Amino acid sequence: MNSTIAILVQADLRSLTRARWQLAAAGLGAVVLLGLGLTSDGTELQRNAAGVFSLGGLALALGIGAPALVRDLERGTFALSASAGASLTDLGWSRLISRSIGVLGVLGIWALAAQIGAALGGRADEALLIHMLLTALVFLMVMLAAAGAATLMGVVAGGIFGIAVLISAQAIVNVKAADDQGLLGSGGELVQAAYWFLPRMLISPMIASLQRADEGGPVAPQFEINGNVADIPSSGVDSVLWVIAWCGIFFGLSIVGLRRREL
Amino acid sequence: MSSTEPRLELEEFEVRPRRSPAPAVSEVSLRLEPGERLLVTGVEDSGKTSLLRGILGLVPHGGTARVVGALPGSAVAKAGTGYGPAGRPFLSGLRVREQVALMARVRRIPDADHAIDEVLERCGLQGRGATLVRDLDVEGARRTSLACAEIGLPDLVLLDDPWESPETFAVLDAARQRGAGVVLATDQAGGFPRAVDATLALVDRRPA
Repeated sequence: MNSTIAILVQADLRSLTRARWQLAAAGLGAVVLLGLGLTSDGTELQRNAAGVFSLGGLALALGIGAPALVRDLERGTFALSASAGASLTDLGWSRLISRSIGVLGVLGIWALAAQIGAALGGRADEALLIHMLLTALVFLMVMLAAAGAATLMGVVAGGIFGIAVLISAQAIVNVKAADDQGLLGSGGELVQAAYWFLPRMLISPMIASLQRADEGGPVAPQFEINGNVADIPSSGVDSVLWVIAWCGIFFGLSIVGLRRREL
Repeated sequence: MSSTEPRLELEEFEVRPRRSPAPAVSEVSLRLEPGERLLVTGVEDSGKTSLLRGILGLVPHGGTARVVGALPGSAVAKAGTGYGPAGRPFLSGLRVREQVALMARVRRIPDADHAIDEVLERCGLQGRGATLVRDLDVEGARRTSLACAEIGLPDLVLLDDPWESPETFAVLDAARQRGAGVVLATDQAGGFPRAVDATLALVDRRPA
């Protein structure tokens, strides 16, 4: 990382930590998850905490990601830094790095709050922690996807693209599992090919277990196809690496999208 | 750069945003000697801000241009040029001092802390360094913009929609004393014509 990027990351992180809505979101999410940890345990804690984490994490990823590049480009903030010597690439890299730290930081606080609550209420829930870490990685990917798409289509469309990436990631994992279990009538080859091309959702062992027991609620409903329930296995290391790779791809596309714009 | 070299030279200069069919501003020719001050006037959307952005090398441009002796957008030109933008395009969560420090650090200004203290005082921001830029009133934002432009005492100062205040006039005087050129762009000339050496009026995105 060159020193200009480091300077810009530091400044943007400082600014981000003073954003009122983000402070409120970080605090509110932490309090809710702490409360859930204190007042529930076992399957109930896992199901409810995963639900709060998913909804809050998605809102956070889109709220931080979609405007990450385009808003300050249009307000002239990037032009001001560029006038002092920063390049568009410096600005893009620094902004995406600081926003990634911002998203992962808040999600980390939430995960920690849930664990503290669970520990105070009885015992820490390692499976929930692993689930939250895997989900945080998915939301990082969504954030970067929204940031990149927004440079081409605007903030709202960028946010919608981020949601579309999440939905498609979940769908491809579900359909791949169904095909692996012989539940698809046709189109299996297409599904297998798409699985090795598209972003994937990361399924934690906790979610796989809740889903299998039909105790996941809205956060992990069972996936039925042709009247049969597909068993969605938990993700392996290859899928984790795949999501990290897609984070890199969306990061790169965001930089390309930004460089196509004018200050 | 040498003390006698022009701070800004434009010959048939035009600014042409990439996806725009027509230039944002065109046919501008001017020469700004050390210590000279130019006022660019024109109604909204007459090309004033585009001209400044073209000089900064932020948007594609045509014609001939030398900014502090270098090509627009080059490292030398950026290092020698200070820009005070219109509005408040600051990082909204920063404090005034942090915003000015950001400009100083990106521009690699030596002894930045001293330079920041000095410029905050000269721009009438002493005691307001801890204010969040999002909480500034219009005058405070204009002063912060002035400080962003003047930090490091550049050879060329570009001010977009500056505030007509004693501090702005003091900055203009200080710029003249050190041999810096100044370009002010505004749609409300007010008392600025008395403080400059030349005026360029833009009409329909070209000199009148």
